[in-house]
Amino acid sequence: MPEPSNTPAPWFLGLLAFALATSSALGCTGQVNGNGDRDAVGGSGQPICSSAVPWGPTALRRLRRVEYRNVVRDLFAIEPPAMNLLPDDGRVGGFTTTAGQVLTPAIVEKYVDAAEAVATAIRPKLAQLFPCADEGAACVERFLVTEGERIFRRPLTGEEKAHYLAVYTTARAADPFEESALLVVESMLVAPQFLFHIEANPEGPSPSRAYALTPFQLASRLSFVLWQTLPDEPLFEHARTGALVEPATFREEALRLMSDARAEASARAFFDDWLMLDAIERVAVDSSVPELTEELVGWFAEETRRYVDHVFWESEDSLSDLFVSNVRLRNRALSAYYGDGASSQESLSLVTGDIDERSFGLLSQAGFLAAITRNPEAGIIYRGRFLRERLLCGKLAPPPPIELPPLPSIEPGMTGRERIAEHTSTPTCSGCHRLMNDLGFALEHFDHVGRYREEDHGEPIDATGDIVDSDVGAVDGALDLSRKLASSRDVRACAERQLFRFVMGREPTASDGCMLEALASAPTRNFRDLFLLLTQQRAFYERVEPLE
Amino acid sequence: MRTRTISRRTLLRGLGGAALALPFLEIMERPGAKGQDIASPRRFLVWSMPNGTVTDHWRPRAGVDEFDFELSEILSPLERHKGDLVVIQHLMQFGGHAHHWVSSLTGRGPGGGAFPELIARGISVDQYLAGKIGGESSVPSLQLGCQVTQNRETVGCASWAGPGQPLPAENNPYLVFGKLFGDGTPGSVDAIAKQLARRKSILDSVKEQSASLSRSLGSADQKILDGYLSSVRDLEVRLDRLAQGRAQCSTSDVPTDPSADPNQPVWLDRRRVPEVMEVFRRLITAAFACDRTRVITFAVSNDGGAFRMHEWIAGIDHGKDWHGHSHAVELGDRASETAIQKWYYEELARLVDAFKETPEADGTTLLDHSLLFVNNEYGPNGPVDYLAPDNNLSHYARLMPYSLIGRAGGALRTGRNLIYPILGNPREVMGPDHTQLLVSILNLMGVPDQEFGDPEAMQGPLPGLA
Repeated sequence: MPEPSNTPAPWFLGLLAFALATSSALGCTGQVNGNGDRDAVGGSGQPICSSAVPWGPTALRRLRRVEYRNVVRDLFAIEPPAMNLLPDDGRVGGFTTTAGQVLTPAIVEKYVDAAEAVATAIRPKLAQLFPCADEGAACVERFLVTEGERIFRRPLTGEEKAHYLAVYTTARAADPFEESALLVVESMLVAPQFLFHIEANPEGPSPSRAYALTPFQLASRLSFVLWQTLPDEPLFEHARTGALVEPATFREEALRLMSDARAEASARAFFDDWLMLDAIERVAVDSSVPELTEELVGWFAEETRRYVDHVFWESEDSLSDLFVSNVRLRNRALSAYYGDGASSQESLSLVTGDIDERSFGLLSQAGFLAAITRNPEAGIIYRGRFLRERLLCGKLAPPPPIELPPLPSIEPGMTGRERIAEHTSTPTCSGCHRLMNDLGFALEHFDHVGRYREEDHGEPIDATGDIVDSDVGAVDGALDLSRKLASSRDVRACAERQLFRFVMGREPTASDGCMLEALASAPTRNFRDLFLLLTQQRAFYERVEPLE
Repeated sequence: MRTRTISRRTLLRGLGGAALALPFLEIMERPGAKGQDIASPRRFLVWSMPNGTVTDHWRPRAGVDEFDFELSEILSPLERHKGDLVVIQHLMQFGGHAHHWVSSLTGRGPGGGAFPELIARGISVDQYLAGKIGGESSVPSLQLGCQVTQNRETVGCASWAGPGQPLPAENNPYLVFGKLFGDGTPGSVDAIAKQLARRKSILDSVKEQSASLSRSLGSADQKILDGYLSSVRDLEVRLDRLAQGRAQCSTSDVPTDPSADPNQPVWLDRRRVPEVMEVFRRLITAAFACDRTRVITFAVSNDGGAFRMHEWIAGIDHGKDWHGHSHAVELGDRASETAIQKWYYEELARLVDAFKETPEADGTTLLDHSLLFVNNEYGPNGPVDYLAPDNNLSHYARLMPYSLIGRAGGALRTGRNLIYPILGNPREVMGPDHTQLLVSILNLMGVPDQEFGDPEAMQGPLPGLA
């Protein structure tokens, strides 16, 4: 596909200058193009968008589980309900989202239960939320103004205040102040204004046309994307005064949030979802590998998480460093497993080392490999599918329901590669498997628990592969694959889509060409900066409602 | 509203020596309802297993006819229930493939993307049934699971309200016990009523807020909010019905959650699966006995049996999870997977014990009025000696190891081993589509539909079953 011009426009110079670039330069220019998709680039390198729909719609969605817990923790300074008590998140392309999920009574009940659990946890510190209990309704009214604004993430309307006062008053006729006040809190925690990210058009519905988010809506979007929680007081204050919608203030707030330690939660959430890192902790110990203990699995998870953190915050080119870097996390336990003597410390630290076939980046990390392998017998396929989908954004269809001829028997001496190749060689299978298998073959020097090996079933490993339908091409081994992934335009474009998915909370549509072009033509290749870049796009601070 | 009365003497007689294993059911008589004995309703349970089976060790040894058979090693735990069992051999799961329950109860091939993000393309038979018969019990249906922690809304999900609408399994049996039966103490009636009133006022508030907020939203957002609103209303109805149900039938035998840390609960600890399965056994029995619901789906593990190490089963390698053992069959180790299968069939046998020991109003048992469907992700592991000794049939959704247990209120003749013919090319070991079994299940449960699932699949009831 045509490449956008690589020459940064003069105003791109420097990171800060970039982050402060005005939306009119980066957002849709409004020029009409025949097909209006991301292939169309103007001569100046400016992206051209379709004028029919400025960018993709954002569906109404609920708080995700991590958001719910963080919000409750930050609202009330309590330990939030356990994750397993909250309704499941859905996933789209691996990213957790509640968009598109169907609501059921069971889900509502979980929210009611969670609200009750929160009320129970708040009870001992009720006086902090209602310091004026002896004033009864007047105290509740004050609560609805100060705390209510944080719970609904915007000031309550007159009707809402009246409604919740009535909830209190009705209860108070039969119950003590505490129960009645807590009933107000519980009711608010199940209200849609709390559970959903409401981004209604203040001027009334306007399907398919973009409208500016209100200051409070914008504050929420920014804090949930960058912190996975509700805005803090300074951000709320900018919303109250309306200053947040001024470009300079908005940019400064984005930078402030990104520089805050709370932003680490979002970086973690991004990688957890994109690369399935939460699966590392669940790697099962294998009795045939005595050195693989639960403690070591814990180190694996920490190793990869801190590695991607480093890549996110500190790399000039995050994507390249993700795949190939001389930086790694080591402690005594990991060094023993990897056999590299890089550290004898108890605790994990960043060290540098040689880049070689055994140690080079993400695809040499044992825990990550074990997690995407799932089981030794079909590991090649699972690894291949994961890489094709998550790194190349390949779309693989479900296995066909049509009838397949029975598989040949397993010969005891077959290598894993031979067995998988035979297993998937029939024409009905090979259509999809040619997209998966070779990516798995390239990793065959690493066994199902990430140990480097030269042989499989007595045969030297053949780690060659042809990564078709991509610009990656022929590879030999995981390091070679990683180098080619690092310099692949397809992989880079896919990573940009993943960044988009996470920050925007939705799939990129044909109308989102501008956003994707902004990422592609950005003068920075650091993920943190690209996050920031996305927040500065019009499609971030303006919403298009879905049609239906 | 139906009344079910049962004399305490019958109840106590029925319990006999098994009192320790069962919830003690108190079925209260409603004033003015004496003497109204109504036929027991039929109940439907799906018991979903992953990973297929070792077909040669699963299939019964056939005799002269369908009534003459000997149970295999894997099925041997059901020996004491042989007369209540119908083994169904050689069906093909239409649309099915390895590692998903997405097609099992829907009778359609999967939609969505690549594994594991497969989704159902239609409603599942349990939900369809719940739509027909679920309106009379306290809740239309329950979806339960023993540590279903992965792919909960995709391939690990067997129950679907419609295309792309998963109903994930509830892993916490203590939570469900509490919802259905309170904490079991009789004196908690007032507390329960108070909690109900409190919840209803919360839901009233939520309904009002949702309705008023909806007015300011665009139609797409409104639709979603309306979905929320209708779920809130459904929950209110459910809470009311549960309160009524509790007034009519209850149990004091409610287990308390022994978890010390809510973030690492017992019911998610894979080493305590046997204990958790016992709690589910009690829950399912009590829920049916007191007519809290008439439709339950229960998944015994994750899809693929992932993370399940079976530390309590002697003689197998505890370093492999269930999935690993199912694949070890291909490399010659049948014994381990057979031992695992047998353990689950023993668990099933104990559930059937509990059903048999639960009396119904007319002197029959809960089992007489139930239909249990033993479901699976796919069929064989490795070669199948008696049909395809040279082929590795792992992952194929054929030769499905299905069975039914229970008489479905008299609709099903039990104690049979049904061997359906292989159709078409014998090498391809394809039998009739399982959609026919799904149709039969509906018929056995009193719903006369003649089609279910994909119209391209074989339809009509399974010949010779009912």
